[in-house]
Amino acid sequence: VVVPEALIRMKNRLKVLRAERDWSQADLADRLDVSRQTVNALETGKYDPSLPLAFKIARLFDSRIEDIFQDQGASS
Amino acid sequence: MTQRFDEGGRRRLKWMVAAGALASPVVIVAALIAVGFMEAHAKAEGGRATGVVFVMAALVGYLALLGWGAWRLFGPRRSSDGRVRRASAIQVLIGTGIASLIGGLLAGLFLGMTSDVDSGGELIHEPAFLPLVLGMMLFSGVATVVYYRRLDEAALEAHKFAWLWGAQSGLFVATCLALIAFITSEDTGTGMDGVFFTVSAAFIGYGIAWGVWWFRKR
Repeated sequence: VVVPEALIRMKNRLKVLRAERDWSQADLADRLDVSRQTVNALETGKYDPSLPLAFKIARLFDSRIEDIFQDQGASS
Repeated sequence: MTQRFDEGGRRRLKWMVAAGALASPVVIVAALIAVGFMEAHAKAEGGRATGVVFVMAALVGYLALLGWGAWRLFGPRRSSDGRVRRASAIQVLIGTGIASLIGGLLAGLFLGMTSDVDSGGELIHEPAFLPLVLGMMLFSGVATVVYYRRLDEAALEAHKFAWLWGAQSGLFVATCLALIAFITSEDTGTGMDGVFFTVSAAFIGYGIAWGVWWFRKR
């Protein structure tokens, strides 16, 4: 079954990485220059970041994008 | 949403404030020309002319209010940790609403005190009405751009989604209702002109924006 690209959900480790640093969602939002609501939408997988924001997140956590975000199609 | 100011950001801020300061006299001159034209027209028609001095005083006060509002929108803020922050998108929205409310109240007060019309509806024909409304529209337009530019990408996506699906659906329903009213009513002028104008303007705006988007991506 071919799943439409728009329906593929990304999984991410944002919440884990944030918890490891003991940051609140507001702390992370401030570091990324986005709203807390956006951080929440990212963490719950309801919103996929743009490529620039994904790179920004990767730089902030000193990781590669694919270490933070994984699409479910690739992992299954 | 907050954002740190780097050197480029400070330079852009200065340019924005300078552009606003330069634009104000242009607005004043345009408003005075409009008021003068309408005053002359009112005299030629034998109608009662509003005192030019009062109109000018109101305009100066109104523009001062707009200037204050613009400074609150564009001006830098420094938080407790020493970082310079800009007002967030929601602060811009609330500030614009409050400034518009105060501006509208002052404009209404001025028009009510300087005219001798019997009802509020007639105020729309007062000479000072046009420049006041144009000024408010200009202020709202600038504030909208500022608000838009301070949204993050998820909030922008939400607005795009809402405009595409929500606004288009509303436009479709309004058109259907107007068509039904037009077909079932004996009065052939039942709102169709207004609906036709609105839908046409929306499609023209859509076409222009679509073209600009692709032109910039070439």
